[in-house]
Amino acid sequence: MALVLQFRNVSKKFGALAAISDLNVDFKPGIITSVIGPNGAGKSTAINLAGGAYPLSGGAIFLDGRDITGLPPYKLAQSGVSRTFQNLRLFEDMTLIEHIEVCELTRTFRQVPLEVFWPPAARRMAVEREKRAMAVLDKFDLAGIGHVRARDLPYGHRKLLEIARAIAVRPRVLFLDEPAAGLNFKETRALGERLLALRSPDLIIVLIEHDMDMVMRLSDEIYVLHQGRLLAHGTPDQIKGNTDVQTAYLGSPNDHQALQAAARTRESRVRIRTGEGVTWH
Amino acid sequence: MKVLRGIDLTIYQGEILALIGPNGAGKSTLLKTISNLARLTAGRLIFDGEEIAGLGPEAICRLGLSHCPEGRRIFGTLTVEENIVAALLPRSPEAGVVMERSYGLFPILAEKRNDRASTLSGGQQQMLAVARALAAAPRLLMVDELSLGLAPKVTHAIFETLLQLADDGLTIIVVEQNVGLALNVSDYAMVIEGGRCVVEGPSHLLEAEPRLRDLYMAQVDD
Repeated sequence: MALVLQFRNVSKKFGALAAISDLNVDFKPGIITSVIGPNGAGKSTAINLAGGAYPLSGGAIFLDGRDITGLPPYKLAQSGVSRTFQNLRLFEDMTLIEHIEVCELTRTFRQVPLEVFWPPAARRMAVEREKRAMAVLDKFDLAGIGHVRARDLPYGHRKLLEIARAIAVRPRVLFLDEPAAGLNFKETRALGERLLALRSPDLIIVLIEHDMDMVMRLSDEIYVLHQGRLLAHGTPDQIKGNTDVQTAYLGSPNDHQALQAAARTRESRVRIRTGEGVTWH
Repeated sequence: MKVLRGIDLTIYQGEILALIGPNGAGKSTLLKTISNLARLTAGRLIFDGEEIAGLGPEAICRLGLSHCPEGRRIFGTLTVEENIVAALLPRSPEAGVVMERSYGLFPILAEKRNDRASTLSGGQQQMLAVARALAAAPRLLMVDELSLGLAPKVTHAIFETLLQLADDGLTIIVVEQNVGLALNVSDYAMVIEGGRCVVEGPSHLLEAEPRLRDLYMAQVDD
């Protein structure tokens, strides 16, 4: 039971605000675990703590049985913690291939002198490196545009590139912070398929997402946070049926019906477009 | 590069119009064109009988067009309340009235009124962005990626509010990726692809279009 990312009594305070209080969660490899909850529930804060962005106020975090609490971000990255961000953080002037290539630096650091002082080796290594980068991009159907600069990519591709980059470091833990935000239904479904394909026995995947269609489809386990505390834990079906979760986050099925009803009464009231039909151009 | 081609759009007062379509289709550019953050290459923009195509963004704001852009764009170093105050225009009601309405709509913002906006969670920043757009007392409200990063319950609450505001005469354009919800709530919708409008019509009729269902909507039964 050592192979797991564990939060033990983790707390985080920002001044008087308790962003996370006494949180105990386990993230297991081989499955997709989702963390959901209202805005400001502490979901991103939890990722930030595991990524070493700021110190814990209490508790400890263990990866594969090792205490990783308080390690600086680069040490955590070296131990295999990788993540994507809600607001994209790409290198705008670099190509897609270059984004993936920089991820190799920690693995190939010792070969740098050889590459600098021995041009034939440098050429060979460059070719191989590009090949490996293309293989990573190919998993996300981005290989065909490998030489395009990040700034010229449409939004959907930018999101994919961020995930590709997070995967390129061959992480042990992959945190995805709202990967579907801003994607449409079809793109979201396609992304979901790709994430399912990433599942492997030695990779812990943690998904933070508000797209419930995606969460319910992909997740094997779900944790629900509310006001920095654990509100519920279970399978998608258990979570959907949990009335506490409905009250705090999902809204009850009735809420959606009420909204539809309100809109329908409006349709009967606003008759601006009477007689207009659907037009295909 | 041509981002929009031959878009014809009419929106009436009190109407909610939804813009739908894939990323990079030109939806955000369309909103930016209306608020004149992007220049029109050809065509005309008429608001309330007046040509507005050449006006600067600040003049457009004063006319009552309010744009809540993608990516929130709040002032991170200002407090929540200062962000809302910064959005007040001569046409806005008194600050107290605006605050009361903003906080009524998003109670969490009231709790955090003196906190720096950069300390808000992503979804809370989106709430602030909507509150700020409303603080300008718009006649036309444009919201880009309304539900981005918002909990389902909050998305519903905002749409409910938009319905009420529209009933009071506010005209609203939303860009929304949740197509099912967008069509539920809006009166009229346009699907934009590659800078063109491929299909448009009253939302309740579009909801029933099989071709559109296949492309954009989660099936209700799955």
